[in-house]
Amino acid sequence: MFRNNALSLLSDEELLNLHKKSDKTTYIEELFIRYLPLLYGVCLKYLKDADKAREAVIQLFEDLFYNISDFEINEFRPWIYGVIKNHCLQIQRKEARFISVDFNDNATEFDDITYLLEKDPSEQPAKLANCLNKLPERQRLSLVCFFKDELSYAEIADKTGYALKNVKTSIQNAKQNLKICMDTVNE
Amino acid sequence: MSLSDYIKGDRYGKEAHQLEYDAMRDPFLQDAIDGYDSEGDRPTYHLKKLTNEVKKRTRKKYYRLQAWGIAACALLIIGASIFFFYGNDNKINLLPEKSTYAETDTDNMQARNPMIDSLATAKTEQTTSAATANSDAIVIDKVIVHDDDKAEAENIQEDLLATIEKLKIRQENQQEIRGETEEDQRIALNQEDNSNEYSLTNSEIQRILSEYNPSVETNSKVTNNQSPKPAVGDQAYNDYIKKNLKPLTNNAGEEQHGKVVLSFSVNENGRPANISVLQSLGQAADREAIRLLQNGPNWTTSDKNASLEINF
Repeated sequence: MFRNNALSLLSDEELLNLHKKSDKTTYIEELFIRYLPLLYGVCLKYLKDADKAREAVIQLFEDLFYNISDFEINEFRPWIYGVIKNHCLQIQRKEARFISVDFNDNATEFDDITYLLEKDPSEQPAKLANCLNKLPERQRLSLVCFFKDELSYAEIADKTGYALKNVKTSIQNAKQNLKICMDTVNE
Repeated sequence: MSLSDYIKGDRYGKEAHQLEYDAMRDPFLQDAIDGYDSEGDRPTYHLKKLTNEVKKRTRKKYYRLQAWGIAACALLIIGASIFFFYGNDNKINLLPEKSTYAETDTDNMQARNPMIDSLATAKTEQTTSAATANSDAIVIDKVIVHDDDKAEAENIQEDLLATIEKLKIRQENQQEIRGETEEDQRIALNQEDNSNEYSLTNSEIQRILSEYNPSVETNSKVTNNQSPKPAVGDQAYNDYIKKNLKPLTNNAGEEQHGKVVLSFSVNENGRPANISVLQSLGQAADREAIRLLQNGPNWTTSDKNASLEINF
């Protein structure tokens, strides 16, 4: 028990180095279990099936178990994210037999908008308020609740009566609309 | 708050908000949350099952690794005993010159120092002794690498004879050139000259040796100068590409053709690194080509860059 606690204090990279130096399997096991929730979630998103996602995660583990030491990994987190996405892409391709999936995710594309929104209202440019007012009511309300009141998605859903999924997509769309609005005002 | 708490249903409060906020800047986390939101039927149960499966598999692998270790030890012991019974004979057959080398060498010195005998005879003696000395070194090298394979050892012996023959011819040529100024040579010739010549031929032999069998010294510079090749052979590598290449389609679903040329270096593990696209065929095709290269078989290590052409 004590050993396990000690392992959980180590960083990903430390675990990797220990794994490379020793022939024990505990380090890689700890590292992989640490990332299981993330890996499984990503597979769920791209494969859209619980069984397929589970198989994919196990298969990745089997692959990496033997050859993870062959890779030069500076930072484990971005590396494994790239690997799991590629892995899912390959599985999808095998089923589809041709390349058609667009994996360019735009979830983090509106970073600058996120940055503006978390600023103090007095420092926000006047344009932003204008653009905010142009947003559809549902998008504006969700966005304000999230950034100003710092509520979680579930709390916003309870407060507004929207479905949880809609809250999430509303915020995503609101950011996209804001960016478009801000860019056009600039020109 | 951790992701596993979040998917359990703890979605309220500042910590849940923080996680959602973090996800906006972290595509990895965002993808995972999206996944659970779209297909999240009893996620905690599935995760627990997964964790147990991973643990079970590592344990199995650990025992298997140990078993392999024991098997390797057993093999090593068997191999060593075979080496002692069988390998020794081989060595004796291959190394008869070892003692003669010492004798001719001393003869040689005697003949040279007083300079009583004619230069020609001293020279020939020196030639043979140098050749045998060098062949000695070669024989030892070869024996270490191949002493468990008699047939191959015989092949190598033939190669060696050819090599020695070449050496003799070259040294005789040198002698002929020398013959024109034999008078001067007679005075100028000393031990230093002798050693110069010796070291020159020695390095030549190294070169010839590595040409004959590059696998003898994998870490030598000679082999490193060749550009990398698929470790499994060209044919097998082409088969791998053919088997795994996904046909390229445009938006209308028609197949597209063309080629992508990649350039890359090979790291010490034989894996391609620093991949760059020399000739592109669109993003999807380039990505597919890079995927094939990255997931493909190992390459021979080298300092040089290699290029790979993939035809869609």
